[in-house]
Order: sequence, then C-alpha cells, then structure tokens
Amino acid sequence: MAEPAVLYERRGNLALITLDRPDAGNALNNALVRDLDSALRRAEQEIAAKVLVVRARGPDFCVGLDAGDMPVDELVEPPGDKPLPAMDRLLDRERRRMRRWEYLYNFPRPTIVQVQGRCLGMGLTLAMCCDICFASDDATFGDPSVAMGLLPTNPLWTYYVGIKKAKDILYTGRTVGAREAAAIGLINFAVPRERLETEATHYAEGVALSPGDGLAWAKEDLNLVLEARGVGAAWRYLSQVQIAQTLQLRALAPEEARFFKTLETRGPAAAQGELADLLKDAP
Amino acid sequence: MMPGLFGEYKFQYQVPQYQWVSYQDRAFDTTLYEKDGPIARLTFNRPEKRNAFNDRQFLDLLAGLHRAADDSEVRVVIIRGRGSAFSAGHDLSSPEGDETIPIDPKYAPNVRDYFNVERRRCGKHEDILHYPKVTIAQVHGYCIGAGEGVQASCDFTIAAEDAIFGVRGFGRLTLGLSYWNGSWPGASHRARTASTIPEMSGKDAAERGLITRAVPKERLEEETERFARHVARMPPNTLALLKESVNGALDVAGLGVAWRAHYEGHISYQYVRFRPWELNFYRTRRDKGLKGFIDTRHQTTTTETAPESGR
Repeated sequence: MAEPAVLYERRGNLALITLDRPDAGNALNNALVRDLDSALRRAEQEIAAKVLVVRARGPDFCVGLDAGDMPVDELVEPPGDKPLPAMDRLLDRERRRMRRWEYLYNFPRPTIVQVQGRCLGMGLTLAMCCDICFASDDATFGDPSVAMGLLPTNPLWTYYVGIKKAKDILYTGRTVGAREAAAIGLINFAVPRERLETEATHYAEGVALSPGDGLAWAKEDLNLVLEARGVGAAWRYLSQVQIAQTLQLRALAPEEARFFKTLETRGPAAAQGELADLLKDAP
Repeated sequence: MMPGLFGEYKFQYQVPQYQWVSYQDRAFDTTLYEKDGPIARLTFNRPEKRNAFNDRQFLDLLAGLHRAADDSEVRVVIIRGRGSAFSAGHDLSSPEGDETIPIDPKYAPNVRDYFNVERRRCGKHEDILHYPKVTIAQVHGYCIGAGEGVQASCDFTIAAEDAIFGVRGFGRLTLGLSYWNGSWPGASHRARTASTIPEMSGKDAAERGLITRAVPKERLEEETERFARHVARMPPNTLALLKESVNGALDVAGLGVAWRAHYEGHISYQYVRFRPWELNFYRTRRDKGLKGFIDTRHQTTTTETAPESGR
C-alpha cells in the first residue's frame, strides 16, 4: 500500500485534512485526488467534527495539476489523434470532474483552508471551494489555465471578486499576493507566516463553539443565496464550455496550447519552463 | 472513527451516483438489465413488493444506468416495472439501515446526518434527470412517491391510461413535495393543482401536461418501443447537447434551488409536531406495526379527519 498523499485526523471538534506531497508542491495527481475524496467522505460521516480544516505540508499549499503525473479524470483530453469521444461520454466525464469541487463547496460543515506559498490552478480551486481562507502574507494565488490553453475550473470567481477583477486575474495569468487577495475578497485573512497555523486553528476552534447543526444550516442558507444567483447552473454550464474547448483543442492555431504540445514532445519540465517563461512578464 | 449513521454510505454525492455504482460483478436481480440494439431496458423485478424501492433495487437501477452510459451502442434507456406496478414508492419494510427510506427517528439523527443522507436521497433523482442519454419511463399500475420521482426525472414518460400517479407521503408526511413542481415550471400552476390531489390517472396526468402521453394499457409496451426506436434514430450527439441545454434552462429557472428546498423540506419534517388527529408514520408503525399503519392510513386518507376544534 502506497503512502497516503492526504492525511486525515480528527482533533476534538475539528477534522483536519492535510495534503502531503510536499516535495511535489502538493500537486494534484491521481493518488492525491483519490485520497482527498476519501478523506472528505470520512470527515462528512464524523458527526463529532463540526468544522473541517484543509491544509498542506511543505513550502507550497498546492501548485495545481501535476504535469508529470496528470490525474486522468481531472483534465480535458489533451489534443491528439485519438478518435473523438461521443458527446454523452464527454458530458459524463466533465460532470464527474466538476462534481468533486461542487461537493466540497457544499460540504455540510464550515470549511477553513490554510494556505502558504503557492496556491495555483486547481489548488486555488480547492482553496476557493472552502468557506474561509487564511493565508500567510507571502502566499501567492493565481490560475495559469488560460496560458496553458485551458479554462479555469470553477465558476466562483465572479461571485467572490466581481467580474472586473476576475477577468484581470484570469486573462493575464498573473499571481496575486495574499494581502491583495484579502482586499479583493478572494480570501479572508492574510497573516504572518509564523502565525498562520495558530490563527487558522483558533478561528476554527472559535467557529466550532457554535452548535454543529446551526453551522450546517447557516452554511446552507448562505450557499443557497449563490445557488439562487445561478452558481449551480454555472457549474454545469462550465462543463459544457470545457467540452467545447476539448473539441477546439483538436484544431488549434499553430501558436496555441503549446503547453500540451511541449508536454507530449519534451516532457513536463520543458512544458513548465515554457509556461513560466510565458507568464514571467504578467502585469 | 465515529461511525456515520449507516456506516459507509451506499450512495454517493461526490460523483453522479450512477457512476459510483459498479456494474461489472452485479447480478441485476432486483432490477433486470436487457439490451436490445440501441435500447437498454431496466426492469424493476420485485413484483411481490410492487417494485417499491429498497437500497438494493435502487443500486441495481443506478448500476444499470452506469452500464448503459458506458455502452456506446445504447442510445436510449427504458425504465419499467415487472408485475402489477411501475413502482409503489419506498419499501417501508426495507432492511435495517437502508438509506432510501426516511431516517428512522430511533437513530436520533441530527441536522448534519440529515444533510448527508438527504442530499444523497434526492441527488439520485437529480442525477437521473441529468443522465447523458435519453431516458423513457414506461409506467403502468401504481407510480407513487419514490417511483413518481424516478419517472419525473426521466425525459419522457409514457403511461397506461389507467396508471395511478401520486404521492402518498407516508400518510401525508411529505405530501406536497412532488418533483413535478420543480421539474416543469411551465406547467407549475397545473402541477400545483395536481400535487394537492393525492392520486391521478395516466390519462389525467397526460392532459395536465405532466407526462409525455398516455396510451391504452395493452399498447403500452409497443408504443414505448416505437417512441424509443424513433429517438434512437436521432443524431445522438445533438440529443445529448439538447438535453443539456433544456436542463440548463430549468437550472437557470431555479431547479437547483428547488431540489435543495426539497431535501431541506425532508430535514424540517423531522421536527413536525403532529396534531392528535394527524397520522404519524413512525409512532403508528411502532404501536401497531407496518400493516397496522397501512390500515390506519387507509382510514385517515379516505375520510376528512381534521376536526373543527383541534387545538
């Protein structure tokens, strides 16, 4: 049995989930995604755990998808000469992909995430699906999807930061520091690195002083407001746009989606290098 | 680890539920799976229970949907029932610990237990609605409660004229939370009328626009097959996208909120204080047994029982 990529622990009223691939920047591969799923299911059934805390070991919270070990269910089909999957298969797959994040977003407990270092791409989606985000003031947030020829994976952006900021960040692929992220509403609190764990834990313990049932209702009540403003439909609509993009990736203009072309021909390090090069002058 | 209410959940929420249930080593005995060219038929096979749902039957249904989704030849799925009925609802005599029937108060569930379980119960129907291939419910006899929920989640319902649709709601415990209200906003005023009527025939349901069509019982099989064959000849990619866009319109019109209001309705019902003349399923079952409950329900639903001065 391989070492788990995600650790689960209950401490008093809190369920703690820790991403544990520090050497890989906690990048999402199959093992991490699978272990994250089962840790969440476990936390959901532990009625004594009133609040869920998500955190990560190592210098970075999560750098996104693991380019060298892509989680197969987490990515649209890269361009290739494989036969075109039927539309119902694509829908099935996309729905599965989206559902994990929508599940976490609606997890029936308050969720608190504690972020240090880089929090990028799918890692940022993970953090955004939690209710309260604490970050160390040296943390950076960003989504390089567009530069990779992909689409950002969650519809929460406009609800959190408004459409102008969302476009600014997603079009340019720039990273946002913790203080700016807190100022625009992408996260809740930026705190000094050495106080991150203490602050997040104190906050979680404070929230857990309230009755667990009341907390579950309060969260549902607030999430329902976004549901009524269309976030549920937006999750599903995003799956369709992702499919359209999958199809589009098969007929790229020559300069597009270099990331996957390079990944296929020259491997993950070269692809990451090119991506970093493309984004280094982001405003 | 503290065990959950039922230990490990049998139904899932993290992925569409039919995707969660494996079909490879499944016997498909409580729901039969047959393939006939582009048509897959899922047939509830518990006629002695009028195909009322316990967990096993629902899991077989979901596994069948999974199998049909994975089979690229299958273009349309027909869901139907063997014996005298399509489905009579929840099987109130389900084995201990089953999740599809409402949680027994003896477990002392709290609100979080309810969230965990209710969204799985309701999510099953939601996932059938958003299933990526065309689904047709072929309905005869009773189509009540959970069975009504399944047919309402299918794209088409073709029913025998004398089929009986309705919501019994455990003796009115959940009456009024019909899926019809949320599923077809265009017909909502008709649905509202309909949901105050405990039962209606297939013919009435078709006239109210709540189902696709009603046909004489002896032609039900043949008409459903004709319908399915026609759908199977349509371009499948276009159909898949059409279904997404139609469901998307329902979503934007508020279906997502309606589903959640529905399962929250279930949660709130645990706090219902019954008036002396009202029928309490759990108490009656405890005192008089299941058969005793059914007899009592029959008496209370066939007479107007609320007295003028009940308070």
